[in-house]
Amino acid sequence: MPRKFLSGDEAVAEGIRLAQPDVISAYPITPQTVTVERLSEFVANGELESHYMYVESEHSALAAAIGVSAAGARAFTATSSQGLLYMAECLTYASGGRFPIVMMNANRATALPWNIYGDQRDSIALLDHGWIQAYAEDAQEALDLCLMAYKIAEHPDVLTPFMINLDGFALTHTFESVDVPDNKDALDFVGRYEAFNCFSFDEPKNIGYSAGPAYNKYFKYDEHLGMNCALKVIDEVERDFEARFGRSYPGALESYHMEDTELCILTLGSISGLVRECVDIARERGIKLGLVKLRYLRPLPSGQLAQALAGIKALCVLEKDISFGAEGTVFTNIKSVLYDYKIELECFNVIAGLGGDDILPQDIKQIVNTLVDISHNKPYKRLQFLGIDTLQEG
Amino acid sequence: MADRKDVLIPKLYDEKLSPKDYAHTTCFSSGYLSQTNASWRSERPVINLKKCTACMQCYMYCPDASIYKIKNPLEDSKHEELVQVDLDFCKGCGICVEVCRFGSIRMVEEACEFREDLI
Repeated sequence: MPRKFLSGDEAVAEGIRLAQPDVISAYPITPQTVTVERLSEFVANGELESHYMYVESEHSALAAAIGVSAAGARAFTATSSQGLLYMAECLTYASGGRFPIVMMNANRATALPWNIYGDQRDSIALLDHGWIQAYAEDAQEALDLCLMAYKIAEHPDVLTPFMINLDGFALTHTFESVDVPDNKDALDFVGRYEAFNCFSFDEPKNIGYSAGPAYNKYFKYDEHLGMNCALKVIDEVERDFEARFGRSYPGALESYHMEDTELCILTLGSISGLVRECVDIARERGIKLGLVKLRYLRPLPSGQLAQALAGIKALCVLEKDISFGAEGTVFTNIKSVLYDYKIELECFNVIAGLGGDDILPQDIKQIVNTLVDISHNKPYKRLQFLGIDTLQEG
Repeated sequence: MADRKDVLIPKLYDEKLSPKDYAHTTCFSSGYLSQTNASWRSERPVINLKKCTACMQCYMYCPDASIYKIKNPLEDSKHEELVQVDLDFCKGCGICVEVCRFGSIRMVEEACEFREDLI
């Protein structure tokens, strides 16, 4: 496999080139990333046989992708931040219509005050819109997710659109060496999309209809089942991927040094790399620290989370998100798993990296110190904004 | 879960069919809607059996998915199939008239009595 020096954006463009969607629809203005620029170049120079559609807004970009999928073709679009929020209305049309569209989202700050730096408030705000949400840690994972996303989304038991999330700047605009699979190997893996919920002139079908109160719930229930099925399919697809390309992925979450640990930091996306290094340093110093990296936020891998977190003393959920007036949404999700599985531990929430604020090694060190103190029964604050609140009380 | 490809796709509106059996897909034969819209209509489309070619342009544009296909009852027609409008679901918007390339659809007032020449 050739190695290329790519940004996260370009890695996604390479991955999508290999997955060969029939149509790419996108709106090119900020906060859009260079992913769609590269894809338009691939189409222009003949490296990718797709129809490239310039549309007039992000709302139209996803609406076009829905039309493409309803015609039985494979669709891709990409967006970020306010663009994703502008798409919000169409997100539920795509998921409710069971159209297996793949979209890349660059996680960037939301207005106001707006900027183009990384934070995860855009996608996490749309957690309930019925899309699978995966969070890449590096450019290689982003490329590999592009190939796996179509297989997972198009699986007949899943039929759910797929959002690949990349941290703004940290992943989208930094470069690394990436393995790019061979065209044929990639296409053999991804396969062609065989749609059956699509327009047909021979047997005219009804797409995008209403369903009254007596019927509506059954569709929503089936959507829920489809999303739950994705957990099993993610595992199957990752095993197939490993057999073909040699890179293994651990399912919807990754546990790092969680087997004999007392303290844990749970996070998602690119910041996992820094936390993993801090785990290594802490362990050299005799601190039993582990990392849980959530790779998928929807479907939420509740069983795997419970397995990973059972038996530890203290947990910090570190996230680039805040639900104002409550707490971080990832924290809320994790606490519901702890309650369901009757896992008792001390846990606190650190809100960090908002608007692209750097999370530094000394910040993680401070979190680890707090975890150690908590394990020695010191009082602590349940919710902390990194760099604003003090981590320890008193 | 059953393979979705084998999931029963109902042909036309059928009250006997349980939604548990069909909620696995959002793809149904045209005319299958769970709520009727007929009361919205002040005009209804009528299809000229001699002009319709079943090109399905109206199917592509119909916002209520009310278009379905039937075998052409006229024995001397060039076209074996033609479209019909499921009037339980048509709300009378007239888009089909606008998009028909053969001038085979026109709107008539609902108040108009049923007459052979309007079919």
